Amino acid sequence: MTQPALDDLLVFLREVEGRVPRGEEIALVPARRVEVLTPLMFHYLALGQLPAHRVLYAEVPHFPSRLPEYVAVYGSGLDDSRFALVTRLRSGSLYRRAP
Amino acid sequence: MTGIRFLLAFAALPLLGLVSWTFAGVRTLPLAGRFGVAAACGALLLSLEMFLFHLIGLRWSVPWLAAPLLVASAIGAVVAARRRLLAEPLRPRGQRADGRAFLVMTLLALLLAGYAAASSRATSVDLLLFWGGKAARFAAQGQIDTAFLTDPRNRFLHPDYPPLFTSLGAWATLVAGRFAWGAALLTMPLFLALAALSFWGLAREDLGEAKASERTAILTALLSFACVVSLSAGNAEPPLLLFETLALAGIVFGRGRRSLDAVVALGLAGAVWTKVEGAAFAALAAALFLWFRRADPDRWKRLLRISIPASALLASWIAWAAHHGLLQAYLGATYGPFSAVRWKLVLWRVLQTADYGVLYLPWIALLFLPPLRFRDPDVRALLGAAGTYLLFILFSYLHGSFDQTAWIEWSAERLLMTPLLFLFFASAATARKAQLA
Repeated sequence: MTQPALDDLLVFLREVEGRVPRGEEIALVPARRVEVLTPLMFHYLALGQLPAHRVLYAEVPHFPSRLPEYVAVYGSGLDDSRFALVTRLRSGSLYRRAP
Repeated sequence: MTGIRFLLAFAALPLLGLVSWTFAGVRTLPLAGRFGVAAACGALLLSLEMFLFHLIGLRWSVPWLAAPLLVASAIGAVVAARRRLLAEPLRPRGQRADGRAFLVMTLLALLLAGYAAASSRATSVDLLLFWGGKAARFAAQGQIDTAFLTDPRNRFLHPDYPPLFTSLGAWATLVAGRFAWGAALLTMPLFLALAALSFWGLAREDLGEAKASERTAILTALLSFACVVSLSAGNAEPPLLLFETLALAGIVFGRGRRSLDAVVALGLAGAVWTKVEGAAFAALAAALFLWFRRADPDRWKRLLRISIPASALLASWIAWAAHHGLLQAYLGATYGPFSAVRWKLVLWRVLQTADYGVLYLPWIALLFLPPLRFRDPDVRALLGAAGTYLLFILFSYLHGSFDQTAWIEWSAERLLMTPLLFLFFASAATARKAQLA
């Protein structure tokens, strides 16, 4: 697998990075598959692309025991009332924990 | 601009390693060789300094990291100038020759490597998953992020890989303001160019200008091709190849001069500080050092001296990793315990991968163009080192109880570059003998 296959995901993460304050907790939810990327590899990608954030591991429909402040959903939306939509992006959506 | 600043941070490595010019063996090298050695020295010193900062809890910053090395470089340059250490380089054997054709070949190989790297044709997801990711996170933390490395979920990110390349990536990130993923790919042609300069500088005296230029062109084409095929752009293989080239060139050339021992020591230390398999290379290179210095009654003392930096670095890194419970690769425990059950499969897959997609052309070219002098004991020693390293590769893959096919297909082309380099130096040793005859 080469990087062009990941372009869309990388652009999505770059857009997310610019919208979430540094140091905040965030989880990347892979709602859409990318070739052979496993959920853990999605997580590793997020670790590198969001180096100034605390990235928590998450898999649809499960979240870690402690809910992250932000959730970036790559692909379709998130149907979870604990989170509110912040913005829709070209390849996904960004949510924040509901007040 | 971020990408340019990121690359400038790598391009500044020679400036940070000018202290190497005070070594007696380096001062007699042509400028190209001194430049390559200074870059390797700068890379090693900078990453070592970052490790020391981490140990004493000092947060990384560009001024704090650069200042001590720049001061050392300035002092080194002054001392070198006062002692007239930058003397006229040793003249090569034979008459000056026009090496422009080989220079063009060398530049062409680097250009193609640069194109393949810049267009993402020579890289893999390893850059995104751990080389770049670790560097970016370390830079954000201003130190080696032990919490990140010790997270059990991150155990597949090779937490005990030695720190040189991730540290250099973190340094460039601090300089640039963020990790430049595109520019990181261009570190491959950069380190290949440094390897070419180093080789030419060290080989010129023995081979003469024409032969040294020819061999430099062959080395550059060989490593560029192998790095592109093995998708090594943005990975640690190119700096590893620089250090391995330095060590082997210091061993094979220079007619056993004691003053070149510092270059060999630098190569060994850099290899063990760059990748886990660098330790296997260093052990074989140390054995070659003994062999090539067999006529010197002081060879054991010299071996001890050249081995001290590499041994100290390796021991300190392993001790640090063990302290944090990170040891995996050094224990052969990344993918499971040793098992020879699948030896036929592993051997077959490694041999298949060794063809580099061109019917083993790199190996055939080095063996037969021109033919190796198999009767020459030095050539046989280098071939023995290549063979032993191949055994090490097979041993490495004989771990775990799963089908290793995908693992080998993914990584063997990168590992095989080191025995390819041994073979290249066997070919260069043949050329050296022909020149000295």
